[in-house]
Amino acid sequence: MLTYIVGNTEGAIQSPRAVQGPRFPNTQRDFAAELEAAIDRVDTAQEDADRSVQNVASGKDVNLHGMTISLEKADIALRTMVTVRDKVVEAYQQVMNMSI
Amino acid sequence: MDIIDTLNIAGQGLSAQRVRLQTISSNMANAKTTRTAEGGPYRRKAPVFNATSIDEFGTALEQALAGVDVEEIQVSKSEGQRVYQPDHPDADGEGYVTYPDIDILSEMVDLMTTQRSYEANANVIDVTGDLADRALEIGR
Amino acid sequence: MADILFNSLYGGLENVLDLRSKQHALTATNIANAETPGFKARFIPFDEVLGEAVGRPTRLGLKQTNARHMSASSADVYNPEIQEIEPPPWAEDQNSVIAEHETVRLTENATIYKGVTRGVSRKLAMLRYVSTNGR
Repeated sequence: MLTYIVGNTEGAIQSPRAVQGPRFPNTQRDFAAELEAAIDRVDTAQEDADRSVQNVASGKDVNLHGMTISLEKADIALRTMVTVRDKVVEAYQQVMNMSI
Repeated sequence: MDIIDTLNIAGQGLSAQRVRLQTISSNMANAKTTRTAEGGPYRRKAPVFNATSIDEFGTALEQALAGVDVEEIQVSKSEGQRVYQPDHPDADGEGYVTYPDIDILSEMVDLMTTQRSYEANANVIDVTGDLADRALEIGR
Repeated sequence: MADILFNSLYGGLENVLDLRSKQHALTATNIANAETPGFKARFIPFDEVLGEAVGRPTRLGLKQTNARHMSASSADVYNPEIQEIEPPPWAEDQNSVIAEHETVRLTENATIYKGVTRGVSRKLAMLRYVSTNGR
């Protein structure tokens, strides 16, 4: 599911390369890189959260505050990624709407 | 069904402890009763607990669940304590009065145990409600 | 799609909740029968029931989903192994319930149950956020 949302966004970012328009050096790469970094952070945070829930559920390491903090971090990472994605899409649309 | 079974079990626990409380009260109140309607001194009473089956034909777990009830109120067969009190109205031919075989301190200990058990069962009900609330909160 | 993701990762957690719920009922049984003659305290031996599957972290990768089953299999959940405690030789009524142990078991079990419901709840909230495209 997350792949679907992100995939569409990545596609939107990749296509402008073919357009001969105003060149903003490094802009596209910065946006894409930032989004990719945000995705990685979400990935890591979600894994950590899953692991912490797993530890509590199995009874092996009932670290409750560790679990709740990991879950919050994962949530924040997710929302941050979505916000970055939204900004990227918004910036792209602004660029595309500029008249030459 | 786990929740309902749990509540029933704890409820039975409360009832059983209440019966025990009543027998202890009776014992303490009649610790010195030398004359009863049936004749003779008061005889100490004690409940006999019995595990009740929740589901005899279920899985190993369902068969392991059990409530509790009072099978019977056992009446002591003890002779009681004989005390030499020739002036007592209930003294026998030899001047001895037979008192119930009840030790107040022992009854007090039983009373405290009963109270703890009652609280433990009540606590089970509280926790059960709490767990149910948490389950209902999932996704809210 | 949400079903598939949720089941493979968290079906195991739901099984854990089922088992913990059953353990709670067993603790209630022990507490109610703390003075029943001949009664043996009983419990679910979680270390053995949850087995080796426990402790393996799952991956919710954005780039790949590689979910593995965690926790108990379905067969174990509905018919878990039950262990009984033998009464000590000095117990006159042959009852093996120790009230303090049951209190500890009750609290530990309830804590894990609450922890898992919270974990499941937060995860669901995140999935819901994602499914509404981040709104």
